[in-house]
Amino acid sequence: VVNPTACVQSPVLSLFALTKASLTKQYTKETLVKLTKRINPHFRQTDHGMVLVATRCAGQSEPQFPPPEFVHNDARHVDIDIGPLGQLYTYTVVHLGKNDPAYALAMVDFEPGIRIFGRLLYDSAQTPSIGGTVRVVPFDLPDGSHDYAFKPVQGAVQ
Amino acid sequence: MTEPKILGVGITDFGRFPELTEEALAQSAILDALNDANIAIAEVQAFYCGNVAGASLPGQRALRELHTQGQAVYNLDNACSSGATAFNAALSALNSGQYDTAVVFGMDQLSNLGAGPLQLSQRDWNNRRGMIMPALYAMRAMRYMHDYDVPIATLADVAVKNRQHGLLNPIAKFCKPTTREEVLASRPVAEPLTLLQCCPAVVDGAAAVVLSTKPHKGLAAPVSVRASVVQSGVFELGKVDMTEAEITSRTAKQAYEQAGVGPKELDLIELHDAFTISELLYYEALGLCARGDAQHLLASGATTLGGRIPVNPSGGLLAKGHPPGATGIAQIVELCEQLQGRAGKRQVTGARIGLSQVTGGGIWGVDHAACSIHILSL
Repeated sequence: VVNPTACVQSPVLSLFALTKASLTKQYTKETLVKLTKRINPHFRQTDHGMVLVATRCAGQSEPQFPPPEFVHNDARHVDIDIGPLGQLYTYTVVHLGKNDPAYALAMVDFEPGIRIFGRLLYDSAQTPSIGGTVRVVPFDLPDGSHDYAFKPVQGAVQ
Repeated sequence: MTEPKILGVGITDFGRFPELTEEALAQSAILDALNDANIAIAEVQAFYCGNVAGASLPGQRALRELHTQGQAVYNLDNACSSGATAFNAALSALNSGQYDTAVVFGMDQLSNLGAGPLQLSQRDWNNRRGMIMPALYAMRAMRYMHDYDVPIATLADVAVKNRQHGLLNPIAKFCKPTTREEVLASRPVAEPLTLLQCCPAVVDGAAAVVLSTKPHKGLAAPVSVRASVVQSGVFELGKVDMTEAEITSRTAKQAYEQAGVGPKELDLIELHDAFTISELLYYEALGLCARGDAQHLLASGATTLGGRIPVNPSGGLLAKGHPPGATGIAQIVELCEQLQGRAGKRQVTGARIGLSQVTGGGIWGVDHAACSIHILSL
């Protein structure tokens, strides 16, 4: 699903950049580079479940996730829904120490041709396996901010 | 133009020395290298410092009490590749004629920073979501074992081999003998990697070399730098093959071209075995064997001391530990001592050409932030 960009262009920052003009030390208004901070969330809920929101920028064949934090010079870009289902490329379970709870991480493949990193949530009934199907689900990061994670789909065909 | 050569090397013990400082460690390595080269510190025109965990101006802080007289100091941070990057920068300056003598040193003192893996920037997308370096390599290991049907015992055998080597290296103070069973039974860090499959993270150390275009005055033979290449990670968006060490493969190709040699001409390698899986991936990226054949190369004994191409005869990071600022220079020190025939019990017989490889940094979107490869010979 391709959506027109809903990029909110605020705040706008400007910087001087090296251009032909700058080579002669003549910084002019034309040398300004406009930086627009994207504030769109990188996930959203749909009727099919939670999806991630990647970005395809002009001149870029592959979608980018995480999407760029800043857009240069109003470059054209579109937001692309990713998910909600993907295939587990690899994963690990991290054990930081005796007093820290273990947590799992994963790389998940989605169409069209993108691999995304995130937390992996599972219980004993949903043991992950490479190539298995996972779903994008809501997850809060340790700092409390809303984010995403992946969860194996029970009984999914691999 | 006279070719810059390595005229002296110095290295400290690698271990836990909480009573020392990174400055003291660096001073020890620098004085050791100057003594080896038989030159005075006043003859050095520039100092290049690789440091990761310390505060700003590490080079000047280390040199202050050596009473240098205002010579140029360059501080370089390329994560674990910092020391090797500093070496590359110094070599470029000597090749350009800017200086005739430089000292390159790297150091880190981690035992006062607490336990656990190296801290990564929490501004990074992946790191905010729990990524740590052992986890990155664990995920590579998981996929590699899946794709090439590699048993977990093979990973453990890398740790056993390098610790066997490290036992022959007097500076590897943290090294203990270990068995495959002990490696696998040690506590999990990031599955399938266990503690003994990870380099000791809390280790202190420093290393230094003297680079000069002047005639050598030391006892050991000068060492030539056949190749010195630094590369950075390429931003990749698609389904990147995590079982391929892209940046190392790319850097190695350039280094082989620069040196006019291939992997078959090498006599020894010091590579970045921060984790057991790293060594297997780098066998393939450096062209020692085909993709997926690293397990067979390891099992053949070719990469063990006495084999066709010993890898990490120093014990590598797994045996010595990994003070990241020092690692790249420590690898170069090991190559020099091997080529000069003064590596003691771990001497590679007839060593003529050696290669060092060190990567650096964990940031999302690239295989690694940096990779440095050097090829040395007499």
